[in-house]
Amino acid sequence: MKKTSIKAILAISAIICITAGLFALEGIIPEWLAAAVIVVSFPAFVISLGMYWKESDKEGDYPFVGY
Amino acid sequence: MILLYILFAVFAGLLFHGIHRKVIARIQTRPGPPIWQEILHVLKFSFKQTWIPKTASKILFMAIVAAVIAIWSGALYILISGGSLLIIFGVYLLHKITEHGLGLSSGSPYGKFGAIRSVISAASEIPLIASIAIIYLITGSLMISDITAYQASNGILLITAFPVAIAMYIIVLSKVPYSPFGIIEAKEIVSGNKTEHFGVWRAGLEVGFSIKTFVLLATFITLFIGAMPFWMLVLASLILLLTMSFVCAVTPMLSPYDAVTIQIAVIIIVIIYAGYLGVMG
Amino acid sequence: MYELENINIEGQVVTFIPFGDIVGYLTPYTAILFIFAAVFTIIALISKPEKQVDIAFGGDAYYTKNVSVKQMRFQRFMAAACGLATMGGVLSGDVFNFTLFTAMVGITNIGIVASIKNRHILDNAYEYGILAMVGTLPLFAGAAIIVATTGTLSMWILFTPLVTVPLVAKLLLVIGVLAEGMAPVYVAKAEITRAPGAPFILMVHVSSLVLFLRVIEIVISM
Repeated sequence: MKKTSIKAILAISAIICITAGLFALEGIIPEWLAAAVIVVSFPAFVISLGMYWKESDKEGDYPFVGY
Repeated sequence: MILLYILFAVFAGLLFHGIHRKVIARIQTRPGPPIWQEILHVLKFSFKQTWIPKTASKILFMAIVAAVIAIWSGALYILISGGSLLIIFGVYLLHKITEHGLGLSSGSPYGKFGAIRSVISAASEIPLIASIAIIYLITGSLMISDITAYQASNGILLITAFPVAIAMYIIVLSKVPYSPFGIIEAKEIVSGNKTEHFGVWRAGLEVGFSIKTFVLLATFITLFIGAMPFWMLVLASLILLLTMSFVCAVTPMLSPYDAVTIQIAVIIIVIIYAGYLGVMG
Repeated sequence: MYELENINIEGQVVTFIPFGDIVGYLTPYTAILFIFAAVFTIIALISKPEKQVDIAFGGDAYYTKNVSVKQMRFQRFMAAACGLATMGGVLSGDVFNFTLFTAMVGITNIGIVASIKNRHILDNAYEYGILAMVGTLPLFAGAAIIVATTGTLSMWILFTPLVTVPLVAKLLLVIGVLAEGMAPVYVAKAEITRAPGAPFILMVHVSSLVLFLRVIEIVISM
């Protein structure tokens, strides 16, 4: 995946997480709904953050099959 | 609020893993890594070169990491909001499925063996965690909020339902790192089902596993000792983890056969206890 | 409006789907199971199988197993059917429907495994087929005892404290689900190491464990 699209996913998931948290705090949406939204978007945030930070990628290699 | 809890659980869980390693090292008269080592690990993994193995089932390979983080974040919310214990039990079993998928997805033989061991251990861990049904017999409810209310008026379940507490202790123990029951990541199969998840994937997994450790420890405390302020819950979880560090430091990793046998022995104790409750109650 | 009488176990009903007098429902607990099964069914539908690496004994060589397109299509169909049956079992508000869906999960699981053309795996698929067939006996016997003693199979009535379901029926139901959901049995046979097709093989475990979770909920509630 391109770095720009990863950046977009990172930003969107972060915004969704924070708005859901804030909305639940203000009582605009019920807390269980906020939790459901965060449960979906938080993993996306963690993985895209890692993908954004990562050094580089290359074509996949074969798995480790022993010494 | 839930977001803050999740972020806290990630860092607390990683710190718990670090303290766990440190305590094991000191018991074995090694200096051991600093206690924030696991946090550094996650950061290190995030900055590494990352790809998907050529032989992997790509979507499954990626989705399984997200699934691990998602189910334990959900379990954390259920625990904090005092929801149904049955859901946490469910998440534990869903975690078994993700462990299995984790190993299968890469096509690596080591991952596959880890995945198979995960299901073999499920055969004994599922009945163990199903012993929460006995808690329902005792308290008349599976809602965590009701169970803590029961303990406030009738005494803590750690004493009144001791065999169930043993079963849950074994469950939590088999999920901490370096556990004697941790057959899925035994070193004879490299890193078991995590073998091919490196770099960013491993960082994601460690985040998920840190939430898992925090949730399981906190669930045990809430279930068998009762409700307490959050800082005390964290402290009690840490003390519980320290008892497990001692167990992990002085026991070797069991063979899959022995691990399942010991767990089944505990199940038999719980079944006898359930029969006793049935006769007396 | 349908409501569960005992909300101490899994919370109040979130949504219900009436099919005539058979009313399926989702509580927070079963909703999570339903979503999990749905997500893994979608993953099985859209992801390609892995190429399993195997070591050629007696040398340094290793090779990868490719899953042919024909085999993949069949496995994918079976995995999708298995996922749908699992979701049906989770959604069901009727013990007989639940047992039917469980039996269907058993059948599709055999299909997922038996599609691999390898003598050892086919041997095991055959043995599992016998196990699943034997497992239908306690499964349906459990449902039969429930209907004989209580006169109903609707969970809405069975979950009320007015109705007592005999312990033996509950036990038979659990044994039946354990026998149909093959995961621990199949995996202990070691032949699974030869079977490629990760997203589809995984559905075997998703269906087994999710239905086990569902039957635990049913048995505790009854």
